[in-house]
Amino acid sequence: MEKPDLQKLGFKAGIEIHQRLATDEKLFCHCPTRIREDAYAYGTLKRRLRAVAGELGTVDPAAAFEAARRKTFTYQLISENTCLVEQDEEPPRGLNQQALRCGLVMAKMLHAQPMDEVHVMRKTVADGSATSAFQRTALVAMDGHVETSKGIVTIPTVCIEEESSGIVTRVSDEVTYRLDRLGIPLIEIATGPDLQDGAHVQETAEKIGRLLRSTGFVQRGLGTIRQDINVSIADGTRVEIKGAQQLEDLAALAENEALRQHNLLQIAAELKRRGVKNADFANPHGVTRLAFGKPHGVSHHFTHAKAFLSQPIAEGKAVAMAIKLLFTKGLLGKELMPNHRFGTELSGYAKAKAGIKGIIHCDEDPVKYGLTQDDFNNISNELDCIEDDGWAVVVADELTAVRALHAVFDRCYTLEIPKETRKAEGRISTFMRPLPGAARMYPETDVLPAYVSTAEWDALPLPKTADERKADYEKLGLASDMAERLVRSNEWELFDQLAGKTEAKTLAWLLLEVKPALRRAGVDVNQPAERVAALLQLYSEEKITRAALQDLFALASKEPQADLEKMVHTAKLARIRGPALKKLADEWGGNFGEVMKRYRLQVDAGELKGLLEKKK
Amino acid sequence: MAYSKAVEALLRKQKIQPGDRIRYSGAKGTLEGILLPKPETTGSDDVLLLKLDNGYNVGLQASGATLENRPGPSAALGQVGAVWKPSIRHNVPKISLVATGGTISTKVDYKTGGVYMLSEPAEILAKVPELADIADIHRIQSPFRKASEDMDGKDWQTLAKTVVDELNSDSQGVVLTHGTDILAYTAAALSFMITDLNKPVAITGAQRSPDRGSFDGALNLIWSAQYAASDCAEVAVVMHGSSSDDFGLCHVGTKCRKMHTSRRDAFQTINAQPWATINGSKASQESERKNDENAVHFLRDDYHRRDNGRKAAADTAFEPKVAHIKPWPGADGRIIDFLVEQKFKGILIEAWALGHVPATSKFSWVPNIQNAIDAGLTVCIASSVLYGKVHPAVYANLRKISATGALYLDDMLPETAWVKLAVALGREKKMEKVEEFMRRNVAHEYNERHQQNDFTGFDDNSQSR
Repeated sequence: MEKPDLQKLGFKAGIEIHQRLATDEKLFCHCPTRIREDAYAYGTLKRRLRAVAGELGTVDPAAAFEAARRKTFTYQLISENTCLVEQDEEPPRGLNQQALRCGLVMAKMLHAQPMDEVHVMRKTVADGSATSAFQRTALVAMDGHVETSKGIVTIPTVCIEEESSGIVTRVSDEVTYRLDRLGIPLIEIATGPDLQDGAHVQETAEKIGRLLRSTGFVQRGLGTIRQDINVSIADGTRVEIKGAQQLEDLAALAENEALRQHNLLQIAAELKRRGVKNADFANPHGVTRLAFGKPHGVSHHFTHAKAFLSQPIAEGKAVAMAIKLLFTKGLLGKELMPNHRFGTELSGYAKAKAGIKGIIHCDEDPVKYGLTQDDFNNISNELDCIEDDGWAVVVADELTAVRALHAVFDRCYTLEIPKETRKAEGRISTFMRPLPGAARMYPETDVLPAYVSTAEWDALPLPKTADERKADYEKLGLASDMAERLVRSNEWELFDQLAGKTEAKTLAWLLLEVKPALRRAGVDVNQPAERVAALLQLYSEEKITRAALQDLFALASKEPQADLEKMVHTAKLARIRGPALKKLADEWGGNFGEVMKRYRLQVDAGELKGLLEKKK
Repeated sequence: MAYSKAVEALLRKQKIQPGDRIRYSGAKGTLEGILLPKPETTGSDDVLLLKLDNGYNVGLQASGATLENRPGPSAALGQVGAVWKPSIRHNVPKISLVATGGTISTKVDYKTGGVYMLSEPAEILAKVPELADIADIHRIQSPFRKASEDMDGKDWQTLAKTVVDELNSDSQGVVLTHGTDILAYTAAALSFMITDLNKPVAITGAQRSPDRGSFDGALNLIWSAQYAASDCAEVAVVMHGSSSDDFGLCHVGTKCRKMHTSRRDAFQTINAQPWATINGSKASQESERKNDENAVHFLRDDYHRRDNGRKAAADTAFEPKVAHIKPWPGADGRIIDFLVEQKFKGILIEAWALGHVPATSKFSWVPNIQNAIDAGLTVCIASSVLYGKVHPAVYANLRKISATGALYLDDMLPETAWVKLAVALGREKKMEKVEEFMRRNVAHEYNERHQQNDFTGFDDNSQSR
């Protein structure tokens, strides 16, 4: 697919970065913020959420959409991280001051203006990810900026908000969440629509990410930072893509969205050329749908299709329903972005609105379904398709199939690009729900506002500069050149985290010598800080020697799940010390060289030397 | 509006009113939004509350700022939602709604965050449109609108009369919406005041506000309508049975108590089993949307059956001069002498455990109780422990206290006992008659046989708490 000129398309993008904060407690209760993926769920709750009228008496479209699905949500309770506040069974406590301070520090680094009074709001969320059906959020500061290689990027808002619950399972309409994540403080940093291309999106995300990490108060690890991208093109609309986790996908995601909008506009133009006058064509209550959009049973064409289609039909569990899509032949198969056709786009709507697995359309290869072109032609004939008419088929129970086909029909003839929230899936995105309207925010009446005085703002300390950090490392005992290398490396964050746990020189050696050497040898050395800490603990408890530390680090990197203590024993890395070492030295007639030659990894040279000298 | 005089002067000068679109220029740069009234006790009164176009409310120091009116529609504040017009349905039971106040009948002004009482009771129904599938709420009465903490005996008299009117209409039953703080007191009061109860009376409320998607009052209302259509001619408190949205419990009006400040399942039946679960068993889940006879699953059989042919009546006599006191360690018994001086007619003492108050120490309450009874007051004793019964004879001190003539009220809840005493003293002038009424099991307030599961929960093998 050719890459269009983004500048000509009028590409505009902005990002929102959500970063979990490493505060001691959650934003509105006293639960700790560190969560363990494997923590045991001691019980569950089941809730049904309702759509409520927003501030103008209107129901938010995103909320109504989720409510229309009539879902029951299950919530797992985790003793370590949940209390009645997460369960929506107790009013929130006051806004966590540590989190507010984090927000203010970050705002100051972004040259933003703090609000005099920070007010907590309720933002309606109906996907079940919050037990209360709203997310608490507060605007802390406005009007900041960050410098990038392509100029200044504005930061209109810095907010502090609650993390949502994490999904455990989703089986058709049954969603199970874990409550441990709910309520962890997040900082949300939004840029203006100033980003000029994919690379710029990525650079800005990286830059803000680095700033966040330099504060030292952010959580690390998978899922602790998320980027949402807002993209539009000149004739398109603002579309929000949620949940990008890989920085390296951001550039492609943003540019593919521009491409999608560009291609959708071309399809719309072609539909108009072929005879679709306006969006009323798909007015669900209008005459047109009754005339053209009536679903039609076509099960008999699927009797010899592949088993996943023919079997449910044979068993009477499903029917094949078809809908005629006037003027769409050839367009359904048009690629919008890599591996994503117009048909895929319609399918996304049907999946989201009716919970089906997918649709079949006339521009596909019938062989995929165990059918022939004749079968497809027969369906076309049966639906009275002429010339450029197309169709879509859904195999499901009748009600679901009709619901899915109506979603397909309505989306198909929406000639402008719908305002929507999409879900990042690698480098492309799929439809998730309509973009929430402005009606979704109202005040959180249970939490008092926080006053931010000028004195407090002025006194906020900013994170240390590189020079200050270098001086700190020297104080810890690192030589000047080592400290300098550490400041410049990507390892200083890990170093800071582990500095208290072992002597600085060994840690710096491990991070700046051992790790790069292993990386060059092709080993994946990115172990979580906790595991590196455990390794170092074995060393500081004299269970292994410094020489073995290097080997063990390599082994642990290769087998990230293995138990360290066991590894020490199977790899024969346990340190020999004290009486055992004395015995060993005796066995070798007190010959330092022989012992070290044979037991280099298990014997500490210093200890052995001392022992032998004492004997003399 | 709770802005300071200085801020108000500034606004007047610029002819700005809350709801207007304004532009702020000051220390924080230039911002536009809708000026909101400042809710009382929310933040500093020198700080302007602005709703920005992105939906957020922010507070901006007014001093040193320049404000100007901006074109644009000013927002109508304090107005929420349209009133639902109930559609006529056939084949669903006709139910009366009596609306008072409380969380269940509040609404939020989504702009300001201000919480208001609903202006029309029908607005409650607008929030629960699916109620129309299971009941025809054909009559709505709202004798007053009050938060429950502001209610008193007079309000119960009004409510009893209103409910009786509805019971004698062509409705199948009555649903009463109420604040949860003293909801259980009202349940007890109606249990005693309504005589010849002919149909179900469900009292319900909400622990979460209706502005949110997790509003518990919706299911409480649905379950209440189902109870009101059932065969059980008793006053019941119908609320969530668990923290989940899975089943409701119909609590005995005189044996029910709010046992948690904020949970959905705060209401519990104490020292007995609830009348019924709703939507608890599989069979009733299937009939949830149909409201047939399977919706309510009874746990007991000793309830009065519906009798639409009978007329309900109300005896609303109520003596307000009844005190409810409880001892604290070392408490001075002269608090009772004070009540006698103040011409109180009865005292409910919420005593310790089996019914103890200080009885032999220098703080002994025994002489003061004796003094009160000699002065013609009725003194009753219930237990602050709530679970279990009081006993007049187990220990020497108990015998001393009961020897004064104080009535030991077995397993009656203290709040129920206080309501009953006020009703008894309203109805009867002679002490013997008052005593006789207090001893009689009028509305299931006594349970003589306590069984294992009357302590920890209700007995339904298909449920687990």
